[in-house]
Amino acid sequence: MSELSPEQRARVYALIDELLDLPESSRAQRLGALVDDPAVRAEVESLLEATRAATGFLSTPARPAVQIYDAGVAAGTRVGAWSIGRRIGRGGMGEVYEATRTEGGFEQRVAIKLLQVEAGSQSERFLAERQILARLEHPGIARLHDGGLTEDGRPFMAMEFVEGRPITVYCEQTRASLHQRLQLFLQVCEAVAYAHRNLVIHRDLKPSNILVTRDGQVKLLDFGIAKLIDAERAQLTVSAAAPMTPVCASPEQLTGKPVTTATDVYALGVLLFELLTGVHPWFGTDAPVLQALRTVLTKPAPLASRVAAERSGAPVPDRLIRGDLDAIVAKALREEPTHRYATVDALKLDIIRVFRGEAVEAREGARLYFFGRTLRRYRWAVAATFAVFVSLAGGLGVAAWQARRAAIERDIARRDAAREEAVRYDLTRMFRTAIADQGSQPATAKSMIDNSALRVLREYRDRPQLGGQLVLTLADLYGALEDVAGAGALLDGFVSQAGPDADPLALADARTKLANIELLRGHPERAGPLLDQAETYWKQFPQQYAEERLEGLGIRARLQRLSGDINGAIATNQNAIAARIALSGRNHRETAVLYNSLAITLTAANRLDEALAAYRDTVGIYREIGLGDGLDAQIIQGNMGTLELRTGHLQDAERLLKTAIDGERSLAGDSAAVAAAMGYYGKVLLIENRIPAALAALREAVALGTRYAGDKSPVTVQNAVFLGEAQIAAHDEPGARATLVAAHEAALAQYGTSHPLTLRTALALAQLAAAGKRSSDAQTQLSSVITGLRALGAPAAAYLAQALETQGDVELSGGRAQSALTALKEAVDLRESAHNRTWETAVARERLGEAEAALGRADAGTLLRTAERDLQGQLGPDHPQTIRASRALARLQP
Amino acid sequence: MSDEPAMMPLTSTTVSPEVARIARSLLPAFYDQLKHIAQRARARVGAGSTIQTTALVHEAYLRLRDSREFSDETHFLRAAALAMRHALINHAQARLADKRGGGSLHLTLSHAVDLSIDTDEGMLALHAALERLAVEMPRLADVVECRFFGGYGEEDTARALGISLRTVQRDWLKARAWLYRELTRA
Repeated sequence: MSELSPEQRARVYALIDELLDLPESSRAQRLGALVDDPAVRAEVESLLEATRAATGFLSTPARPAVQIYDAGVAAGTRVGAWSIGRRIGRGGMGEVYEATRTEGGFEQRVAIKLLQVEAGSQSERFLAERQILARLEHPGIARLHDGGLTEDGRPFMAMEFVEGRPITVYCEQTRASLHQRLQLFLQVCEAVAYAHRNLVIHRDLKPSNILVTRDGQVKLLDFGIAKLIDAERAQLTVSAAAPMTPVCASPEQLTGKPVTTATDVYALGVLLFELLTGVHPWFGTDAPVLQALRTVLTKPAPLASRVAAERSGAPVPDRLIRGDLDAIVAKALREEPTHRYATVDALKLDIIRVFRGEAVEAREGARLYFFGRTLRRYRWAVAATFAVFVSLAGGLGVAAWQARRAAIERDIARRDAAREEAVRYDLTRMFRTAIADQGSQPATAKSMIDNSALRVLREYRDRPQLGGQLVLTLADLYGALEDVAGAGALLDGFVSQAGPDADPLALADARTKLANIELLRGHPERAGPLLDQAETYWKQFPQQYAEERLEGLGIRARLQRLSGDINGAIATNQNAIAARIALSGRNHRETAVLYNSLAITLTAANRLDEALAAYRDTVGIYREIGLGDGLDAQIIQGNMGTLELRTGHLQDAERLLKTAIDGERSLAGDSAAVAAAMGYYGKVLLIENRIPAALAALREAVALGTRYAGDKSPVTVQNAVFLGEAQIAAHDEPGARATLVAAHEAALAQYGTSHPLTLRTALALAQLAAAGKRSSDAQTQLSSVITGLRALGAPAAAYLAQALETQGDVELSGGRAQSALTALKEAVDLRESAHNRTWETAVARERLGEAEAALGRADAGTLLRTAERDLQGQLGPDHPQTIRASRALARLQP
Repeated sequence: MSDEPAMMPLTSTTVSPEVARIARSLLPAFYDQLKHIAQRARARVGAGSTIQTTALVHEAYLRLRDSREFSDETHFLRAAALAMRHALINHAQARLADKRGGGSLHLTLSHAVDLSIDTDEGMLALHAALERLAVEMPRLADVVECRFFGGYGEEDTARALGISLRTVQRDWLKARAWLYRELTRA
């Protein structure tokens, strides 16, 4: 072909076109007439000939070539010195057969693992496994006896034949006691520790790889994806293969991060959990793989003792697990590898300590417990994962998903290696690439859910019955991604297009969820009607929907609080508590959560003693249910700390807040809750006049608030106000101005002029002006702040008092003692009605005393003396406020 | 066995950057789906895959249409055929690499008579021949890409390439003739 020039070639094809229009018989003649170039003619003839021959060629479109199923190796075949018997199993890389040998007069039985015919590059892995096994010799590890090549060149391994049951099955069938289970677990630890000492990480520890023989001996199998630690470079090799079992895979395996011995520790944690409770930490053994991946990456493990308590027929009583074993499991399951046990030996030792009744390592330091989040939040119907799975599997009509669902469940639960592997492969890889490969892949979890959501809304417009459940579970998926916008859009669409045939249950549920989202989005006014509509449905079957009604009540209480209807919120909260106790009993986590809400609301209503009582109720319940050291309890302690602050118990406040911050951080890292606690902590330090420490804490608090809650969120604004106050105290006027102006603008933009937060920022700015001796500025700003705060009534009393004190100060320094007196009298009244003996009241009294003194009143002395005494007691003799009081007193005595 | 499809450069010289972009984004998904199909079909002895590539293309089209990845349907069609071709080729290469334990590939057809393009070797030989055709008569190669690899009918092919139905029919004839001749020449 290359001999022809482009012109010739063009001619050829033009000719062919023409000739093809002619009947075949006329073609040769026509060709002869048209062409005299022999090369061209030859080519045309050749091609025409080919068109005839190629009539069926490529007639069916391309299909991916498939492999005919390999029927396996026949019994009796000789492999090395062995004779193949029955097939035992089919794994990811090949098949396993029983085999025997009768050399040297005795029969030896082994398991022969044959690399599959098509394994190709997997042979590397196979050989690696062989190499690894060759160096391991331990009673707890299935030994490698022999290896080599079969006659047709397939690699094989002959291993110790282990007859036994998976460890979990063994324990269940023998009804093993806690002691026996722990003893078996210790055996496993010893085997794994041995492997680690020989620089091998297993990476796929799971019950089916851990068999127990008849005489109770543990045997580890399948070092199929084990990895050698590169001892020469003292480096840990990075995981190249996807883990075979995502359900038992650690977070770092799933996200493709480097794998260390801590990975095996994690798997041992999962195993221990299962041995103690009978189930996998996040769900039962039949869970869909996709759900596994998401939950492992986003949820901390529940407390083993709790799971045991809630399961009927759990193998070990929960009270035996509570405490030490809980802690051990939790420490092994930490998401961050460096927070787990450093070695398997350490884990082993802690178990032994449990036997001996000694203190365990896991409980030292910062009480590393996890606890389960409300199931409500992650209430994933199995349907949820399949909605996504279906869109991934591609091309399946969503209408068929319900039928598919059962099949998929069966598929995954069954031990069908090929299908399991395909599923695992697809989903694991997809998640790994979605996480590692930002943006260039269309298939992120979010976009997958987005696409499913769109499809559901579109296709189910006319079939509302089927759509409802899908919508709800997709909304839950969004919830797991913390994607409020996504969930909101989906639920909006569903609720607004729901006609009279819509599934009423799904609709009510959707409305409740949407109400919650509207609160989060900052539209409380939309939440009310939604809740009302949902309530209309729940009311029809109050017993059946008691749980849902309670959820609605909880949201309504928050709605009322956010809208400023404090008394309404308190009443609703109390109703909810009563209903919850009736439904689930007092010692229940949900009850505690409601008491906590009540406490927050009471605090907002300035009913501080009642609030403290409610907090104590909350903490009490948490301790009763074994969550006294969990994250929620820490946050509550933080809340109590703020309350102590407001009631003037500075040292208690400082202690509680510090504990809360440390506790929260060690349990869950930085967060908005930490930011809030840190802000109050800084405030306490400020009050105690520990300025440098206060500045440091408050700067961090502002940064954390901005990062985790947004720069306009209440947390951040409040922290900024505190920071500004600290900067004023540190005489850093430019710094204070920058901080406070920004805070004021943020609050103004987000909340408007009359919101308490905005007024507080304005108050702080007025204090800045006062501190800078710009009295007229201060006065102007103060009067508008005071007007605004007055309008808010009782909840703003403390801030009003603060404003009045500032005003009094300004008036005093301007020599206008009479106006100062008026303002400060009101301030004292406000303070005294809140709490009589706090340092704040003392400060107010001190100022009032100064005003009285300036006016020559007789009771000035008494006031000042009381104030000085109180201030000395609360803040210490060296505190600026105390000193000021002393000086004022000294001026009195001539 | 690597997880990612071997990233062959999309060598077609006749596509616009837009089309190439779409093709590149489709390729990994197609590749994975092919693997999936192949693995699923594994269990049934003697069964070829009953799922044709057209189904995959359609599914991708529906999916992308919702997300407005492309504004022009023509672009999509063109891109999908290109991507599907490369997915199939990658698939075949991967399988051959497996069989040979990672050795180098020989693209010879052992049986001139039994031109089973369903085999990996056949697929790759076709691909190589098609590349040669593309040098000489690019439009013919494009038609093959659409009709054979993409599995499109005549109308879709015409739409994808912006040519008339008749041209598609003619080109298809000529292309197949050329390829047949090319592949049966020792």
